[in-house]
Amino acid sequence: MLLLTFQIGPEAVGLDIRRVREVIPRVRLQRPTGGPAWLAGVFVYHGRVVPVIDLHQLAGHAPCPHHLSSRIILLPVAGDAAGEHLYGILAAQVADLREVPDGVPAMNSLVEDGGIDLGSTVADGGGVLRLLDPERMLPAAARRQILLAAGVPA
Amino acid sequence: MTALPVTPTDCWNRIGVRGDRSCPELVQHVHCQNCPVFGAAGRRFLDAPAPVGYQDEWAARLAAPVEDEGGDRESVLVFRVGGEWLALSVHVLVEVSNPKPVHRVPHRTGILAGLVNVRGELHLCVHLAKVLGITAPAESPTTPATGRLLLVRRDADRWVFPVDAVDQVHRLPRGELRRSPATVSRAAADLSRGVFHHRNLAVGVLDERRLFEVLRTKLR
Amino acid sequence: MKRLKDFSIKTRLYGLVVNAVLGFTATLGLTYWMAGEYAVSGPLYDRLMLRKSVISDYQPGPMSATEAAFQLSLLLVVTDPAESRSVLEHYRKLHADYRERQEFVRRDLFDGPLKRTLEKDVFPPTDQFFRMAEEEFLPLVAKNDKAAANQLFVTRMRATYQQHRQAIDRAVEVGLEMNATEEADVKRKVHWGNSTLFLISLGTVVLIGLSGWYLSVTIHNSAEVLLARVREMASGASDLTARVPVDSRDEMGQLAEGINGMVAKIQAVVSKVRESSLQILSAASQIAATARQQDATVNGLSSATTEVAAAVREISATGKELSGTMNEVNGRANQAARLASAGRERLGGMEQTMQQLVASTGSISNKLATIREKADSINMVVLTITKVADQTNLLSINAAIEAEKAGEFGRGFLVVAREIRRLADQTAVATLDIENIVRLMQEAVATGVMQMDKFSDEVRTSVTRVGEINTQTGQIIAEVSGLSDRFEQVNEGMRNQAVGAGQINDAMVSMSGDIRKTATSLEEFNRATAHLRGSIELLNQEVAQFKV
Repeated sequence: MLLLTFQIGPEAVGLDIRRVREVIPRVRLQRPTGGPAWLAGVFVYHGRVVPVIDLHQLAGHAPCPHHLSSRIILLPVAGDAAGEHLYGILAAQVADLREVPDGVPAMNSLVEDGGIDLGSTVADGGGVLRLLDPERMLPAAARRQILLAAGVPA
Repeated sequence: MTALPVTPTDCWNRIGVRGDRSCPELVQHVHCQNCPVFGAAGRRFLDAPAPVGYQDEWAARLAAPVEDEGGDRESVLVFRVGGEWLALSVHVLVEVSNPKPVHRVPHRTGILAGLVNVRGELHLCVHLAKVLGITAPAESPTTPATGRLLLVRRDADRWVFPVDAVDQVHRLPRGELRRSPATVSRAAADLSRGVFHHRNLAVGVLDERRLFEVLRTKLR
Repeated sequence: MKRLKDFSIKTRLYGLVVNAVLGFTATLGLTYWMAGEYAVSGPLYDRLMLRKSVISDYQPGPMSATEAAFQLSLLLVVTDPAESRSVLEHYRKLHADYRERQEFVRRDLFDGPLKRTLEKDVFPPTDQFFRMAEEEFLPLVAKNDKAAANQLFVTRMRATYQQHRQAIDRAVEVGLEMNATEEADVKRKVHWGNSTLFLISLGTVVLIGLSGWYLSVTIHNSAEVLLARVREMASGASDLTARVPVDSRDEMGQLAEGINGMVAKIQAVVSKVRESSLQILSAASQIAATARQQDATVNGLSSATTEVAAAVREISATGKELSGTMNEVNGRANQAARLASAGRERLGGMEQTMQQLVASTGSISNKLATIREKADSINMVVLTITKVADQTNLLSINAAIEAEKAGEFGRGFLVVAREIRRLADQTAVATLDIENIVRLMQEAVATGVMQMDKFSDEVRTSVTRVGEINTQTGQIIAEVSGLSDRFEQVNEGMRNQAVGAGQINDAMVSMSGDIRKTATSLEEFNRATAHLRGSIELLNQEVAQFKV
């Protein structure tokens, strides 16, 4: 499968591109007042309001650096297969695609309570990657907030 | 000026294809472009911050709702041969590539320009100008900088057309086609489905079915 | 052998007296004897008188006309003309003798009875006789009238002759008488004279003897005294204050006075000598000291002159060197002037070149500015390309995404995506390269601009400086021209100096010689001074003996 590779802090992370709607440049975000730190802000995508999560801050690192390669990955909200509601994750080094053979042995890792689950670890010729699962990535509390921000009807 | 990080290496300029070609990786990758070092350098390029206004540009672009281009549209590739602007349905298009050397076939002249190697396969290269009766330059013209090769396919037939310029893929509403003007040559008129206006240009849309038939006939 | 002088005065005086007495006595004796012998009526006189009378007996005197008469008579007899001539001649001679004697008597014979007699009694008849002879006889003879002549002769002349003879006899008598008288008188007188003479002589001898003795004694005494005094003085240690008593005004007294005076003078002199010798001694010491100083000075002078000579040689050498250097410098100055002139020309060209440079730098600066603008525009392009690269990269990702979504249909598109990806990388790298190049270019341009500005400033400064240099060069040329004259002056000065140095050298050499001479003189002087001192001391010693 083809993975979109990026960085969250020091971790190299990959994401199955079949789950990705689009990758867009880091547009200017509007921060809602009183929101959590990891909520980088919202923007208008083709008429829709899309919330954006700073994965770096969510993972407890410094905010995502302002590189050209720091891009927003647009993902459909969990459960919304139609793709009407999207949310974005802000990560660094969002610039590479990597082909990883299916069925590669993955290693599960422990997740701290309240922390994000970066997924299992896979290794291939190119190095070690965390296989991010968007469904399981966010902690429960964050998920709810995202859904709210995305305007998903409760 | 963008505050690009100074690349620690520019091996492609020194020991690579643009240097003295002494890099051992060249053996494996043949060209620096294929080398991961090159790719990494390219990646590092993106470590620079965004130019001023870039993000806003994109924000504006993305904010706009997607235009619903309703209607039945056909995608055609607009290109120029000689002085004529033509269009061809993308369905038959395989690839547009840069000009490649055409190997002349002895004793076969006319519309056949020769053989061309595209991605390891030999294809027949045809002078569209001659086919359409367009006043074209000499048999072996110096291809302009914008010259391209159109690789087309219909069913089992594959042809390569050298063209002088390729414009873009245009989503042509079906009802927009007009009749070809009288200035167009007979051959061209036969082989075109109509004309549409694109940026003040009259673009003749080629009938791919008839074109391919003609080609099949003439180059048997 | 003892000289006469060496006898004492006393002896000599005595001798004198004795000699005088003896001489006198001898003279007296002799006179007496002579008087006796040769006085009138003395033995000799008698002999002479006797002889004379005998002779006169035989000799007809000239005063007598006898012989003349005889001759005349001969004339009467002689026939030979030659003989008669000789007789005549003889007669003439006798006549001449008579006149002569007559004249003699008249003139020289002293007055007395004899003369009276002669003149009165003798001369007239004689004269007559001769007259007759002359006036009458001889003419007759001449006429050869011998008879007449004879007649005359025998008569008148004979008478006259007789007269004459008688007169002569008478005169002779008178004469003899006179003589006899006078003889007796004389005898008497001589006798008286002799006696008187004898007495006087005796008296005189005695007188001489006495006075002589007295005189010699006196003189001797005085002389003794003086002699003693003088001997005393001569002996050395004498009392210069003592004086010889002056008790007479004669020569001895004067001599004593003189000796006294001399002694006084000697005393004065000696005391002065003492004084002076002291002064001289001290002066001699001073002189010695001065001489030592002089010696030292001379030495110093000698070494000084040597130094001066050396210095003069150095000066000379330096002068020559300097002269040479001056010439060199002159040559170089001239060369410099020439170079300066040449340089000036070049400067002119240089100024022009510099102006051109300034213009060029202006144009270069403009071009650099243009390059900078272009670089800026490149940057704009780079910016665009950056965006393109970014978007291309993005596109490749999205294309891959769409291709995946398209599933089977998207497979070909994946290839495209891959191409796009590669294109993005190329673009990115190219953009990096461009950025680098542009940065380098801009750095270069910035450096270039900076350098251009600096260069421009420098050129402007240089232009100014060239102008200054030009002016200065002009000044230099002018000055160098002036220098030549000065050099000539200096040269001349050098030559003069050399000449002067040579003169100094010569002077030094001669001075050296003089100094050597002076040194020698000093040595001599020293010796003389020492000598002098010695002499003075001796003198002192000598003088010390005297009591002043």
